[in-house]
Amino acid sequence: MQSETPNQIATDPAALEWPSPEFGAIYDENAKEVYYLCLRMLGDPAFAEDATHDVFIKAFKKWAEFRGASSVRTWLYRIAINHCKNLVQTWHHRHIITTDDEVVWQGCSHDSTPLEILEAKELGQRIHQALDALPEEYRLLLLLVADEKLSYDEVGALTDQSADAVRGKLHRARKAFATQFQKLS
Amino acid sequence: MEHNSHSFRKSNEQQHDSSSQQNGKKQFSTAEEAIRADAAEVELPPQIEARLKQTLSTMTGTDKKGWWRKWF
Repeated sequence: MQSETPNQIATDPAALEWPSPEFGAIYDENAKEVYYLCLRMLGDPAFAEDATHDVFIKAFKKWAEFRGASSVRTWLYRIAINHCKNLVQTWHHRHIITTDDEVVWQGCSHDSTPLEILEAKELGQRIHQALDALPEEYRLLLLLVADEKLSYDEVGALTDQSADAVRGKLHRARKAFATQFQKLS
Repeated sequence: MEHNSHSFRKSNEQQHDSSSQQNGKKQFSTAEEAIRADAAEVELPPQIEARLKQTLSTMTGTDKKGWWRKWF
C-alpha cells in the first residue's frame, strides 16, 4: 500500500472539507484580500501564497482570542501585517533581497485577451515598484485604504494612529505614489 | 518592451473617483484606484485553499479547540 507524501497534497480544493462551514465562509470572504495584501507586502506570489496559508492557520488557532471588537477582515489583516513584517525582517537579517526583475505578478483571469494580460501584468509590476519605493508606512496605508470595506478608523487601528492622522498622511502617500508611478512611465 | 497603458490624471482632471479610458490608456485618479484595479486582476491561487484544508485536517484536537470553543 502506498501512503501519500506531503508533496502529494490534493490541489483540488473541493476534494477536502473545511473543519466547519463558518471557517470556510470566513476564508471565502477574506482570502483574496489577505492574499493581495501579502502579495504587495512581500512582492512574490509564492511567498504570498505561503503567508496567506499561515495567516489562516494562525486565525484558526487564535479564533478563541477574537473578541469581535473589530471586523474579522481587520483582525485577519492585523495577523497578515504582523506575519509579513516578521518575514521581511527575517529576510533583511539574512540579506535575502528580491529584485524587481523577479516575478511580482500572479496571473489574471483565464478569459483575458493577450493585450489585457499584458496590460494587467504591466500594471501589477508598476504598482509593486511604485509601492516598493515608498516608505513602509505609506505603502501599508495605501494598501489598506484601497480596501473599501475598511473605514479610516479601522485603518487607523491597524496602523496605530487616529483616523485624522490617516487622512493627513493619505494625501502625502497618494502624492508620493503618483510620483513614483509616473517615474516608471 | 515597455507597454505603458496606465497613468494618473492631473489634479484638474480629477472630477470624480473612478478610472477612465482615453485612447486605450487607462487613467487613475488616486493611488487607491490604481491598487483596486490591480487587485481586481489578481486571482487567488486555488492551491492555498487545498493546502489549508489539508493542514487543518491534520491538526490535533487541541489546535482545533480554539475554533470550536467560540461556536459552542
